[in-house]
Amino acid sequence: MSNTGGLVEFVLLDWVWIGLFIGLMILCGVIFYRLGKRSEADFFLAGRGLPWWLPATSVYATHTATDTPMWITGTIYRWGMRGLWYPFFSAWCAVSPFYSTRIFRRSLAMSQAEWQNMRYSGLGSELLRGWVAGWQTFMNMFVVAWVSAAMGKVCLYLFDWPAWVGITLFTSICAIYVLTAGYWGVVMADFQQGMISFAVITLVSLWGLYEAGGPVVIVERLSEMGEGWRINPFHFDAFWGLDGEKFYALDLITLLFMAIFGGLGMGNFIDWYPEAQRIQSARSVRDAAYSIWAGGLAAIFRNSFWAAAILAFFVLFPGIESSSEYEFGWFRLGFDYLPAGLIGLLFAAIIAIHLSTISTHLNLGALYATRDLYHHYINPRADERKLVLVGRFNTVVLLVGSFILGLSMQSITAWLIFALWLQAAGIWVPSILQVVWWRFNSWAYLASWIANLLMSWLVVFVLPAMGVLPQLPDWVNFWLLAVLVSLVYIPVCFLTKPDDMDHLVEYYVQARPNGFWGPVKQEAIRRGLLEDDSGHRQHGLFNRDWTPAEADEWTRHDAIAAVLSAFCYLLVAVGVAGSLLLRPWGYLSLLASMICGWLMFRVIDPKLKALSVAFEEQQAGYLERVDQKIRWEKAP
Amino acid sequence: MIDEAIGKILGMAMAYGASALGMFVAYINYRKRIVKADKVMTPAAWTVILLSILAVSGAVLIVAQIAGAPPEVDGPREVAEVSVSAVEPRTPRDPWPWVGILVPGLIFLFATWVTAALHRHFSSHGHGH
Repeated sequence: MSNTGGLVEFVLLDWVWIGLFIGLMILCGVIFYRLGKRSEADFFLAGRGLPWWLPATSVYATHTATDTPMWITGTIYRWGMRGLWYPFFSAWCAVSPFYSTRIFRRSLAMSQAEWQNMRYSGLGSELLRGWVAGWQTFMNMFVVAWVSAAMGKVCLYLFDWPAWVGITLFTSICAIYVLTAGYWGVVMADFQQGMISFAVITLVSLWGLYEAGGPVVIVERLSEMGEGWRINPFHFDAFWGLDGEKFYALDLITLLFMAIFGGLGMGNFIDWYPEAQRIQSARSVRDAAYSIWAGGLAAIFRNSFWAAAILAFFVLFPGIESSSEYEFGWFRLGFDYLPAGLIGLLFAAIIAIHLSTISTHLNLGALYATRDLYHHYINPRADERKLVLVGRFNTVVLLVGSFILGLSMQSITAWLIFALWLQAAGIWVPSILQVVWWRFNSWAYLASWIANLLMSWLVVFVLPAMGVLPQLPDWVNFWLLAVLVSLVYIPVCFLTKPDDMDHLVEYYVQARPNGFWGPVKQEAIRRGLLEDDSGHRQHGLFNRDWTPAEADEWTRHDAIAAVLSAFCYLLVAVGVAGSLLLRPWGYLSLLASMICGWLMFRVIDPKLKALSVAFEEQQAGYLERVDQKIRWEKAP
Repeated sequence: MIDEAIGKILGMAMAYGASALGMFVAYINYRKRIVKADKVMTPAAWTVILLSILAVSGAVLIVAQIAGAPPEVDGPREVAEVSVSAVEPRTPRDPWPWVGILVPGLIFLFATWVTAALHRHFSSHGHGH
């Protein structure tokens, strides 16, 4: 028995493994049915009680979609090892655990839309909540459609199946456990699927290196071909320039700047929204921090395995001009060279990657539709049973909507991908400002969203089409949009009133944001809600003796941990890829990354433990306040 | 299949339409539950909203005018078209290689054990409550 319709031969053994793994993945989600149906918090956050390693695997699994291998293969094949910097935006997960993750976890907001309602006050906060909830409900449906379309193309490539079969079949399989067990099913299946996919990515990448003759031969062959620059992640065509076909040092600086400083904000990357759900599902502030840190690091690790394997693919198949051909490079390494049985395992891993992304976005879209639109606006008095029922109903609506979008309107996805990319430019700074600056208000943030739409159209779409502007490279577009949108939201911020001080003080005492919050902090101290920290002891770098009040304060330990963490990520990206190619700089980078990681843990872990214990003692009271807000018993 | 330029406009309209609908629901609720009087919005807020609507409408009209030949924009995660011209015919494989049985088997057994362990741990502790 073998498949002969497509380009890959599947024998009975492959089908056996595919069937067994699919069955196991569905089972893993479904058996948590009883936990998922208990309450809204269970259906969407697994009861807020998960240890860090579960959401961490889910973060990794969510960062790995069906089209991720194609995209990373494309960038590495085109740019060589420096293409590693394009997916390096995941490095926001290096800084966020010690800043925005901590603040968001303490807010106890179930969704980013709910957080807008806690951070801001009055009508502006409600409008923002409605806006973000609508945007996220639709965008999650779109992501399901987009990833399903990628799966449709993979199935066309492998089996010659019509696109609709690949689009609907596996997404429907995934819906079984999302509907039954909600986020419990998502996170448990993600753990299992994350392990399977990580093992297979490692296996196929190493197999590809072997097939190309091994690391030494690959490096020699690249040199002979005059392509030796491809193994240098820091090879630039110039420091800066305007040619979109070249890679400049300023491209890297922009990407690193975006990735690392992006960790200070909330909502400035599309990945933030699913990770926000994982942050709230962790059982403590410490678990939330480590889940984001470890999940992001695993994604960086994975990228480097892919990068080394794609260099092997380049040696085997140099000179492919069409991106649509070389983007399948990593898949070809597996399907062309693995023996029977392992091909089935590879396809099972592709299904695992697909299911983990789909399940996340189905559940997340349903979260916004249920928690923010239904529970807060339509039926604030709904009981838990009804909320779970509505959660399931919304999951079905999203599923059907994604099929319609994916099957009949594929050209729409071109604009929406563009929209998601642009989201990172215009609202990137406002998404940081709303976290770090007390005076930044809801009207300014709302204005930035709307202005971003207009400006991005002008800069990237309208003006180049009219011949007024040339097609600009990505780094110019980013900075230009950041400046243009700021010309709108900064005046709006200062022309409108600041948020209500009572509301800001309440938010500050609970979430304890850092940055430019001086007036709010002073007011909280004046009201006796916080103690004055001027008398606190100065601790050494490796202090293990934190009082809860001291741990609540922001100190140099947090900043040092964030810097060490960023270096750890950077060195892992370079070190793993370099080590796989047996480069001495690879070993050194890997060693340095381990030292950075160990130092980071020593500096921050005692503090995270102390502040987590202190916060958990107050969590029940804060949760009651969140519930009052959703029922409109407290004014927004 | 609809035209790509129209698809781009439609995609924008759907995404921002869903967001605007969410905002509208929020506005209705705020008026109903918090401020029942008419003075909900300050003049500045109304100005921002009206100007935004005008600007969005203007942008849609401009793009609709020039939509005949829109430039291609490469997003960072563009989904590739499938092309198979570079793929060569494969040679037959051994249908039952030991590595194809052992490696997936070990991963499968480990994943099954992990699933059972997770279920035992979280179900028996009534986790999260």
